[in-house]
Amino acid sequence: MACDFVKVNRDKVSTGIAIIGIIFILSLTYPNTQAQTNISFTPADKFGTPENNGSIGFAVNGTCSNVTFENNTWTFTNLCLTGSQPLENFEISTQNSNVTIFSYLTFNNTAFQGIQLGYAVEGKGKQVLNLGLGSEEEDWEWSVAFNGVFIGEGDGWNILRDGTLVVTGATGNVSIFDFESFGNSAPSSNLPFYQQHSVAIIITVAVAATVVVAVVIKVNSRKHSGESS
Amino acid sequence: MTWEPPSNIVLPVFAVVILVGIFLILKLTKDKTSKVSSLRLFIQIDAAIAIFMGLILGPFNIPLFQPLGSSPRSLLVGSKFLGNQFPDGLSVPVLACYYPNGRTVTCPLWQLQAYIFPFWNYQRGYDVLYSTSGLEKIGIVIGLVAVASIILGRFFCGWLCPFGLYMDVLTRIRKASRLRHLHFSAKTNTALAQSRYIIIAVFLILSVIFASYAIFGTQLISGTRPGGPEGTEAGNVGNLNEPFCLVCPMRPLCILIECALGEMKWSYISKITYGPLWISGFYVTSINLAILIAVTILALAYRRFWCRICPLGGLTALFSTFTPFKQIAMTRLQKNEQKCTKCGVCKRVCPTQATDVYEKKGGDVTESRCILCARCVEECPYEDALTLKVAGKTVMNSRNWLEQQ
Repeated sequence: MACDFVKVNRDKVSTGIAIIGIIFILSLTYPNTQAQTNISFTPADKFGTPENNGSIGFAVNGTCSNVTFENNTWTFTNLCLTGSQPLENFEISTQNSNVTIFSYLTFNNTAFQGIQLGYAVEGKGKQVLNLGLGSEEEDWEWSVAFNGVFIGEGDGWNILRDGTLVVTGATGNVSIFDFESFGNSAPSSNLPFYQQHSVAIIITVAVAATVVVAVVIKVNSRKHSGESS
Repeated sequence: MTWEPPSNIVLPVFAVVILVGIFLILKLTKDKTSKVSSLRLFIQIDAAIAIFMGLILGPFNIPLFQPLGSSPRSLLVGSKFLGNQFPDGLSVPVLACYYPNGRTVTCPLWQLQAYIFPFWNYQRGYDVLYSTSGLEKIGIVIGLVAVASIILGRFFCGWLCPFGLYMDVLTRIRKASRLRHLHFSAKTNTALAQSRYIIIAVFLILSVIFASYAIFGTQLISGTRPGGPEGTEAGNVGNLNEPFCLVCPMRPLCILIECALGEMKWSYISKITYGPLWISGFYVTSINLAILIAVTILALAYRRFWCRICPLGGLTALFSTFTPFKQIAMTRLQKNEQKCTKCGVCKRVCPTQATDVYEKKGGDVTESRCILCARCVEECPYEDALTLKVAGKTVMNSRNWLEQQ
């Protein structure tokens, strides 16, 4: 009887801990909520450029703090797509084609940062995009892929001095990659010596350890072969 | 802003496939003279997939591959785990060419050449930011190669190198065509082995010469000053910075495969072009292609032809088969003199015509030409005459397959 009581309680406690644990884990993985922005849109919404016979849409729901239309160009401020990172200032115009933007991702590590923008195009026209990255093109490395195939600059796309990307004649999926370096100062220059050179230190230790282990193994092997003979 | 990759099932599934495949090959292969060869081929294919996983599985930005998770290309060991101290990729002594998309590790030869050029002391590399000097990075590369070589020696050449797989496939094609291979004379074979070190030295010196403006403030060869020949983009002397890559056959092979898979158009290959035809192009030059064709033809005639002159193989051998590393290298081929009958099978089956296994009386018969493919161990018909040992433990030994059949 006592054992059954303990067993039942243990099961309840275990279940309770599991539920709490699941809730805790979910709370950590649930995406942070963004501050409410002014304008929401869905895939049903289209941003047309009637004079240029084109339109811009999104494959997912999204929000932005402001959107303007001027000179056949749509400008989105603080554009947030579901499942993507926010894009602070995004300008796009399209001509003779309908564009559906499906993703915007950023990469950020200690070596470089970069962005990837993906959209689908209907109609063989022209798209002009500016992702608001500035005009420091010396540090940029742009790559564009049409349907997963990387295309050389000048063979369907080119980049202007102000960072505006012009894509011509693409159909299907277009992916734009841009990697840019950080400023002129090394990001780790303020770290202590052992952190600045941690890789070299680790490799040196690894080499030393390998040599020591190898010597020990060799000595043991010689000892065993000496004993057996 | 950080990018959180979605769940990735590719790597765990790949690991399981490898383990299951190894188990099945070892259990199901009845012919004892081909079990090791079959296992080696399987591991070579897996290694090539692992090295170029991002290339083979395609860009992960397209919806078809997105459910699989993040591309291994973005998990490039180096930028991901080693930060901006060493972001170009972990050095592994195989021809894991730097140039194609989707690689997971990097060829040490590219790294040695690239880091010689003090240009890379500047913070901007190819899409990466360096916080360490060229000298430090060279030290890291040599350290990694040394560790790998001391532990496994030229096992990398025999079991893991993608270009070795290419040559083994050519050998199988030749065998299927019922053509006999050719032999180099002992003198020629020895000369080829020695040429590896000359090749390394020449191309590293060329790296310094091409970087002379950055190092010494004066160009030793006209046109190598940053800014390149007239009318080219500034800083594109990086193409000349890696002179061995201009002639390496692995680079065009990788790029051709990438184009064949449809992941790169030919227009992208000539993204940066300047100078005469032989150095034109960022990814492939005419000299690259010519050497690939020549090596392919020679590899059809002579087994593992490139391995006989591969400078990376020479570098690996330097840290595993020459004094003082020879004394501590962990992976060794051992011969039992009492059990050897001098039948000569080991010498005949060796793809690189390594002869110490036959000519030496006994003991450690590992030499710099040996790629540790274990063909000799597999084919030797005398029990325990040859053994392959790692850290003193026998991992493979010759069996009397004549009696068992």
